[in-house]
Amino acid sequence: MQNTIKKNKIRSLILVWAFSFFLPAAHAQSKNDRIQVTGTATNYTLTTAAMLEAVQTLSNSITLDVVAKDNRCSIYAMVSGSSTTSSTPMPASLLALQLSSISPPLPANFSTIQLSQTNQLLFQSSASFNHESLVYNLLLGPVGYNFNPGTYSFTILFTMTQP
Amino acid sequence: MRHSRTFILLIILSVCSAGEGVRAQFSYNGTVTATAVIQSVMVLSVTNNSSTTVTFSSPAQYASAYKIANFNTIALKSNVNWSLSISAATSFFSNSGVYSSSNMPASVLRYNINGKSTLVTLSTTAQQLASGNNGDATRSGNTFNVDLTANPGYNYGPGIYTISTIYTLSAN
Repeated sequence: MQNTIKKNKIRSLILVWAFSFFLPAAHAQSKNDRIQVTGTATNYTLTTAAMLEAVQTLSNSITLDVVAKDNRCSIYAMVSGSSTTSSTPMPASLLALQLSSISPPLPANFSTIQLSQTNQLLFQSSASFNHESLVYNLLLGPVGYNFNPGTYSFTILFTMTQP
Repeated sequence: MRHSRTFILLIILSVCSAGEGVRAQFSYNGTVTATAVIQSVMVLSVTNNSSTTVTFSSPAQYASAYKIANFNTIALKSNVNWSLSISAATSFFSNSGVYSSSNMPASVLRYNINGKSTLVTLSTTAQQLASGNNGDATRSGNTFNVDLTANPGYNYGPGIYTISTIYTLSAN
């Protein structure tokens, strides 16, 4: 009788233990929280010397809609891919992001953040929030005269992490 | 006793597994594509370093030509490899003065890159004066001086002669 009870306990524990392996996967993403990235007018056309010699800014071209109800969050950006029709690839470091506005207001970094092929911290909240809209300017260059005419494309990856 | 050990081991494993779930970092992402279209851009700057009026005042100048070193400074910026050519706007100089001649050809003028011996005789056909690689004016070879040599000899009467010289920068 005692052995049967022990066996049942062990079976129950095995079940709990086995199920616990699925816990991380089940909790890997919150149902509430998310980041939505919207890019509008993210294309540059450089046709003059002045355009090659100065930083080109696409104002308010990227919007991050962030929901972080469950926990505080950090938002990063990186250039995850690039392609070109030219023989001279353009480095990710020629791109930069600059926060234009954040709504509702929260403390944030409004300085220019140069992009690279590794994550660069854009924003960090100290607490959870219902919804934040972060609008960024996209900056390019100065490109100069070292890159041949052609089309250069970049994929910018935005990642929100929560502890 | 054996069951008790198994029981304790399973508890430890369960706690460890659950702990892993607590430590997992949640991650969400999205992407945007940015595109830059760069077109050919070429900029040519020509500076006159001395007067564009050449006055012949000695027999030696008629006999062996009149050379003005560093007559022009050329500075160029280009995002493609380039070629610079030179040509005359007209086949002959325009002339004024009672004794002037109407047949002085553009070929009395010759140009060379300062420090190089190759002379280009001016004509209405564009001729390559220099070539180089993409870059701004600070790139080696993208800024240089041009010497002018005028050699009318004794074939043309005294007077005032005028001609326009055209520098043309193009993709190479």
